[in-house]
Amino acid sequence: MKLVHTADWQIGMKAAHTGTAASRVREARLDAARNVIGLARERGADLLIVAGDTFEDNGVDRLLVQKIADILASFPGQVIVIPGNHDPLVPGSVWEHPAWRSASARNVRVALGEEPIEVPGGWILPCPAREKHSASDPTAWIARAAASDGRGNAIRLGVAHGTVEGVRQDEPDYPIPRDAAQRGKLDYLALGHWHSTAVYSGTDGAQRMAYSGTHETTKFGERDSGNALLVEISAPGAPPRLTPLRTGSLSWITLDSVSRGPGDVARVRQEVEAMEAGERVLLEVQLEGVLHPGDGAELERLEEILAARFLHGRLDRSHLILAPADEAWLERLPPGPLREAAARLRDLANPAFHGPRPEGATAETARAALLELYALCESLEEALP
Amino acid sequence: LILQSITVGGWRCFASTVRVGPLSEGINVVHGPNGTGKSTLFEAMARGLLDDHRVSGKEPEVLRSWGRFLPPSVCVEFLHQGAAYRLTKRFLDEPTAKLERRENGKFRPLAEGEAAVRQARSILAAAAPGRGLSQLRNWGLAQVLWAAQGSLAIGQLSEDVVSELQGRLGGVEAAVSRAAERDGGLVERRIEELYDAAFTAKGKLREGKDAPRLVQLRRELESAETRERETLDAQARYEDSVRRLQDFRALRDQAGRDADAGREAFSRAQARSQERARLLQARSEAATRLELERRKHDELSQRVAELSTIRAGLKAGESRLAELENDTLPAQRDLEERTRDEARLKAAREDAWRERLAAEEALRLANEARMLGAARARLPRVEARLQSVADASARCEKARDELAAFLAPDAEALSAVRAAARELEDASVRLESAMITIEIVPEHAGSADVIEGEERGPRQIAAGAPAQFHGSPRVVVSVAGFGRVRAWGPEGSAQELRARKEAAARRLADLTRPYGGVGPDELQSLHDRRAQLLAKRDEAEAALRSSLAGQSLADFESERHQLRLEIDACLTAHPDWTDAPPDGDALASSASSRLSAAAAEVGQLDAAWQAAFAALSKSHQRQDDLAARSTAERRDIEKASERIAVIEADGRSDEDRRRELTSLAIAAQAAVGAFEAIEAKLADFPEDVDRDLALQSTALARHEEEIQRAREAENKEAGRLQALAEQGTYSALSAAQEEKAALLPRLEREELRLAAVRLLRDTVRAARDEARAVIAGPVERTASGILERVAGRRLGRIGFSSAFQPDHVAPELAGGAVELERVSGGEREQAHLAARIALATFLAREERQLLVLDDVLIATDAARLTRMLGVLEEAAQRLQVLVFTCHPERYRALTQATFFDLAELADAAASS
Repeated sequence: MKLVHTADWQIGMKAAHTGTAASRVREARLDAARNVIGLARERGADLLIVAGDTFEDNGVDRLLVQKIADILASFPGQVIVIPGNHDPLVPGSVWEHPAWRSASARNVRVALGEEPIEVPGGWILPCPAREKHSASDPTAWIARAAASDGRGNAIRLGVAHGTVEGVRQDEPDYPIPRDAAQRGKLDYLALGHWHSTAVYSGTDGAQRMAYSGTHETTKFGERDSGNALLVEISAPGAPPRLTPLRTGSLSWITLDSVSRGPGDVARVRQEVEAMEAGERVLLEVQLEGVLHPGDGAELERLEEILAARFLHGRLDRSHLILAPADEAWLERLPPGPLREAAARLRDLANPAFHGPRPEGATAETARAALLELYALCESLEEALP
Repeated sequence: LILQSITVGGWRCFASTVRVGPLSEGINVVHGPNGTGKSTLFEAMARGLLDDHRVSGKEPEVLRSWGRFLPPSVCVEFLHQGAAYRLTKRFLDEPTAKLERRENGKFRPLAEGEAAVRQARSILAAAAPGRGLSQLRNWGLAQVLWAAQGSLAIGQLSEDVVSELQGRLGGVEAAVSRAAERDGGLVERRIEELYDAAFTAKGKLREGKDAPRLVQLRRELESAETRERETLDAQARYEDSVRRLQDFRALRDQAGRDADAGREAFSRAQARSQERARLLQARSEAATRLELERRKHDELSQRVAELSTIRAGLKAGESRLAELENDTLPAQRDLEERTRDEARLKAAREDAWRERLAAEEALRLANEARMLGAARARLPRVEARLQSVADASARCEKARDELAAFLAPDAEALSAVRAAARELEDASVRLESAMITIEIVPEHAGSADVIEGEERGPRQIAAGAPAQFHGSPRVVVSVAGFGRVRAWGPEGSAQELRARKEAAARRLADLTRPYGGVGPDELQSLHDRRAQLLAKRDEAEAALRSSLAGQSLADFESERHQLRLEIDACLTAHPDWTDAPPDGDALASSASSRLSAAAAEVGQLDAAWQAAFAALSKSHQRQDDLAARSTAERRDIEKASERIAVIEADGRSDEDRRRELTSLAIAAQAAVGAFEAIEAKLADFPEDVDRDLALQSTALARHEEEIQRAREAENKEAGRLQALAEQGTYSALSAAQEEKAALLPRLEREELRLAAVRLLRDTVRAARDEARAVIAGPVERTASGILERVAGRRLGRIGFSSAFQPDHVAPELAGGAVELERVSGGEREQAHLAARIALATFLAREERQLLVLDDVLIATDAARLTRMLGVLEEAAQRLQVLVFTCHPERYRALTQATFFDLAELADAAASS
């Protein structure tokens, strides 16, 4: 038996953290779903399993439901889908949509109950989620049925959505025992819920339980995501062979950099300029350290590049502080109110300043004001001595 | 600038050309009544020096002379930096401007047109207005130096004037500041531009087409937040609907289970109810049968018992009747004997009563005889007493009449007369002692004439005999052959004593007048005689009271009348007693004895008769009782016989009846057994089987309704949920939140940028204001000194804003700054004038300046006005002062001032 295990498509996912690229990030998840189908066809899989959270929420646009049904129906083999905790089987859920009952999606079977489903060469034992949170083991019914059912000679595949024991959590969240596959006499337990690909080996060394991970990365810092798993089982009881398939197309890159002196911001800007840009790259630059008044323009330039060359680019400058020693330009200001004002702003820009602050004069505002003054003086340099 | 003359024509009220001048370099007072053109002259001077002659439009049209079409023109001659100038401008029609300078005694053209305007403005550091007539803010230093009517307070000075003032007043420090401002001015202006591009003058964000990007971003954020709230609400409604639908389904399932259980309970209750109904019917029938058997048995049993009872009663009644008949004869004989006894005693009793009545009549006659005797004895005594009383009464009346006819004072009146006499005597003595007395002992007899004194008139005096003359307050006596003698003494006491004496004499006369005006001794005699008459009257009244002995005369007369009536009545009834009255006492004694004997006899016979009468009545009663009982017995016997006949009419024997009674008892016992068996079965069923059935039925119906309601609610909620699901609420929420999230960084950046601009501008301004405040210090000190000279120390120091506006004073009593708006109107105008003079004085350090005051100090009292005029005179050493007023008298104290009567000048211009 050859099947593709995927999960956590989170179609309709909110992508507020990607700013104006949110809709394109969402669209990329549909593209990745098509990739899953394409790779499954390419690898000759005869079964596709979606282990929950196909949709981000039951309240997603019904157009998306139809699109996913169409994508799944385009797979030539049988497709088994279980509801996850994001799209649980409740009244008004996405699973009540007529798309799942249409003739074109005849190969797609949404598991609405804890009942075995026969597939060519074996049985699927699904564990659909019926609510957003549960402290119960969704695979418990498989273990109970394993003792009495007469399907010992066929390949037994479990499909569940939850958290394998061992992951630190404040409260149990659909807890699944580490030996759930063994308890249920399963040849393979396809899991969903966690977005990173993770494989669990049994006591015999066989890999009978795995998270395929989300098919497309959802955020910065999400480890080993954007995959599906090709699962090959030669016979009942034989150890499965798992092969990761790269399905995601977005690159989520975080660039951490430190500015220690004049010109460092320009260096970071050059580094970003040198990166391979594109419509599938999301880049977050975390800049910390000291900021020199002359770097203000570089920061602006860096932000322009981030906005122009990447699907999403963001510069986090909140950890920059104004360089305390760089006051030479203040001495170049004409004596009088202007220089006095600059000196006051310099003091206010220091977060450690304990003197009286005018209303709204936070350190951040004072720093921006000082940079503004610097920029004005620079632009009007001919007016200064 | 020193003004030398103003010539104006075709300007508002000045149709003809009027020239005011030459003006002195000190104080000039231009005066005239209201409407003569003082403020117009001021306006012409200002517009002549500051306005562009080419100004056009409706606004300058008002300058034209009323009802005329002449072009307004003005010519101002002035000195500036040692040179004399003449500036001539014509407005509206063919406008011209010409600036001339006196050179070699003649004015020669210096500039024309726009150049002339620019040159004139530069003298006052004035700025050109954008368009139209110049406003106060375009007046340059004249904003400080010239106070138009009603505008003594220095308003918001334009920034250029503030800088100019700062430059002119600052000295070395300001020189540095000026250099710095020159260098940094570009940056500062750019900062201001940045600020103005985003904020209004009041510090609010601009709106409309000039609004900064932040405003639009905020609007977009607001819209996004609105959408977010709406989609959040829709998502919440969707999730609520899911939960509700789940709840409804659970409710429907539960209702279905409840209904199934209800149906089973209903079936069971229905079967039990039907069985109980059947048993109840059977019990009813058994009860009917039992009742029937019992009634038959009871009826027969009752008849048998009745027959036995009647037979026994009949026998007893016949026996009692026989006993009664035996008692009847003895009772008859007893009755006859009692009747005879009662008749005998009744006759004897009547005889005794007749004797008693006769004795009572004899006693009554005896009493009448005794009463006649007593009355005849009493009547003479009463008549004698009546005569005695009449005599005493006559004596009493006589004494009273004598007393009434005698008039004499009583003790109180007599005492008053004596007191008045003493007062008269005392007053006479005192008067005499208070008199001035002249005693003359003439050597020769002659006459003296008393001209003033007590006894005026001529009087003879004898030789060697002392002659006294009394009087007061003076005594003047003219003695023939000797001369006039005058004596006087202290005034007052004799007159008072004389008045007292006269008053005492009047009072004595008033008191004695009723008694003939006699003296006190005669009045005492009269009083004594009256006392004797009073004693006589009292004696007569005492004798009368003794005769009456506590009774009245009427009492005695009434008694006499009553006695006569009694005597007459008795003799009328017994005429024979007139001549031979019986012995009442003897008759009474005999009659009393007879009556006692008769009364005793009556008492004994009454008792005997009553006993006989009671015995007779008892005998009668026994006789009647025997008869009645016999009659009743006979009637009962008759009734019993009739009832026995009725019962025995069925023709059966007593044995037949006993057998039938036994048979009926057995049948009734069987019916009881059947009834009790049914009762035992019914005891297994509770009383409320039917109620239970009704309850189960109601519960079942309720369950059915519950199912129906749950189904309806579920269907309704399902429809609602489907509608919400089709909206894709989560996707809409995501879109809204993404939109908001995309806006927020931009908004924050823009907010930070504008906050930075605001902070930068405020910080620069604060630094600049502080620098300016340092420069404004000397002006404050000078203005405060002027104010102290005028108003004393109570208002304290005048405070200036950084833009050289006087805005507060600092009275010591207030302990802090007090805004100028809060002090009195007079002191406020004094403070503002002091500020203007101080500023003008500082501006005149390098060159004499023109200070113009149009109708000021109108609320200042005379004393302070005088002091203020002194200040003006001192200021005039460095300033040319031009005052416009309609009260020239208020400025007459200015000895060095030049006065111009504008009305006269205008009239002269018009006539020429």
